Amino acid sequence: MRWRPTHAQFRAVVVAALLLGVAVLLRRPDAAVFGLPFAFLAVWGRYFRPREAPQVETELDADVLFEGQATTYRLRVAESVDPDIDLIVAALPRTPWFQYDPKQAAIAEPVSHGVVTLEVGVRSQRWGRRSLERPTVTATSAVGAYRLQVVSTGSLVVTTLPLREGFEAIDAVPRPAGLVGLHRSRRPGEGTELAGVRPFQTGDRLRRINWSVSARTQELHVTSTWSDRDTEVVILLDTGGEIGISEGIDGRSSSLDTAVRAAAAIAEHYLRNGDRVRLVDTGMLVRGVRSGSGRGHLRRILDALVHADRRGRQQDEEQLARRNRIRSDSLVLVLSPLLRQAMLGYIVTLVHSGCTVIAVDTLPPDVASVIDLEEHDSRSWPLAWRLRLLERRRDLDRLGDLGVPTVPWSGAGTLDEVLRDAARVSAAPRIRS
Amino acid sequence: MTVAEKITLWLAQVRAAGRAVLLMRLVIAFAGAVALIVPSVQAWDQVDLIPILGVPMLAATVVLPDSVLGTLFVLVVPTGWFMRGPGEVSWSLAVTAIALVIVHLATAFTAQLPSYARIHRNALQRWWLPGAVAVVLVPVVAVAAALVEGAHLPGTLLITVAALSLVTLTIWYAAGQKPAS
Repeated sequence: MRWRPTHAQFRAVVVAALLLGVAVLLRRPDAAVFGLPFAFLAVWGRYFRPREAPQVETELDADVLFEGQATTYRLRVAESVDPDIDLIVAALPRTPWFQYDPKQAAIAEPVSHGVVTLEVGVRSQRWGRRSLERPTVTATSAVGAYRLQVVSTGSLVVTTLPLREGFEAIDAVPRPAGLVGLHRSRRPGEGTELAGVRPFQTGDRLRRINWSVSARTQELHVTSTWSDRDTEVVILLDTGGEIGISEGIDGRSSSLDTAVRAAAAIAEHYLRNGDRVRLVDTGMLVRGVRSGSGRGHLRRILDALVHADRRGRQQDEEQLARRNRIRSDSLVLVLSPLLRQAMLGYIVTLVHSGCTVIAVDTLPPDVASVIDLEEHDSRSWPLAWRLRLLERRRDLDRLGDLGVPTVPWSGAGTLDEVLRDAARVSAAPRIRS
Repeated sequence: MTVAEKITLWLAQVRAAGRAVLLMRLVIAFAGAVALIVPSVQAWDQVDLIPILGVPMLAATVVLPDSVLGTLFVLVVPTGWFMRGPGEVSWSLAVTAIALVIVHLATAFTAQLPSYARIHRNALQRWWLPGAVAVVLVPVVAVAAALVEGAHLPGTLLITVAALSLVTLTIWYAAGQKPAS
């Protein structure tokens, strides 16, 4: 790695040598007029030739972002930079799913006070784990005479978490299980939600006695509460294919985009409410995350979701059932385009095992209009999709008959109605055969 | 990379070109045009081959500033002067020489930058002094050459020796200089 003369320096030297030679040998003063400025520029460039290579360091302000968030990519040249270096030019190879400011991610800064800091804004447009390639850094000397390609440090990795849109659902879960969550149970018990004031019964805790009501009525009364319950929410993520076009956070979403974003939003909502959330991937693409609760668990789920952009081997219905044993009182939210028979079969298995299953349809609404003209026939492709969607409609109707509601993902409030229905159904008396 | 892909890439780079880079390329084009036009409007008849060679070389220099084409262009223009020109120092000669120096400087500046780079406003800070000296050197040398010629000095041995020494030094220095890719 050493300073090499540029075409400009080569030009100055060659032109000066030839023209001055002509001036002397042919006694042409006009050749000297042409040649001497070039000789001066060649000497100037040579005299102010830098000797040392600048040390370049790269850093990111933040290497974990949410979709749509931006950070600053900083390229710093050390203070001990050779004063004869004129410009530092850095060009960052553009990586898909990142938006740069400046747009082309190339900056030229003069070395004026010994320190050079080049900053490029980087905005992540899609969830996933991607590396920002090593920038091409070039240092140049005075009058562009010498140039040096600077080797910078390695590429930097940016993790983009899929959590973007806020998700809210009604505070109803069909079958609350534990005793630690924030959902109100249908049963009275230890909790914080006021159920009413009732006469004292044997077994009531003394601290529950409502003294003001007891004094007024001359009879002991206690304040009763609904017990606080939690539930296990299982998010079943279908990574068996990506349908539709992914254009990042600002454009259209593929089925996998919708599923991953929905999974993150749902997990965040239920974990915030104290429930236990488990993530199951149908394709070994995202390593499943065991049931857990709390902010740390949310981070575990998000970290697992960012790996969903790699292709993985898909499991069939039997493998899914064998590998992912789900408790019968769990609330299972299936995020799927609902096109694969294995997925539909596994949903039926879950229903038969007693789980409350809600299918969230992630198929893009404009899927039939997405045509790759190089691979698809423009006439038969929409027709084929129409037939496929009719078949799918039939399958979804069958799922509906089994008690599996299907809702398209539309952010906050998507699950309200179906959760209410599911809670009502699970509260109804059952006849066991 | 196929030719079609290269053209597509080049067009994309042109579309994304920054204002400063475009300005510098305009400067190359304008100064190059001056260097071609001034000799062609002189009283002496310029060789027709010079503009035929010069125009495409200038266009290529504007497009590819970091190439040997700039060197060829800067050599073609003086060649026209030597072939038919009277060999005297004149203001039109000085204007052509200044235009060539500007072509060289603008090309050198443009060559070190990607066409789409955002350039700091002080990027030319260290260019003004050598650039101005090189430009001023042209009329100074022209006037000095005219004075020496007009004075009809009996012994120009000293000047010849000095010039030969300068040429020798330049050629010695040029040896082993290989442009960076």
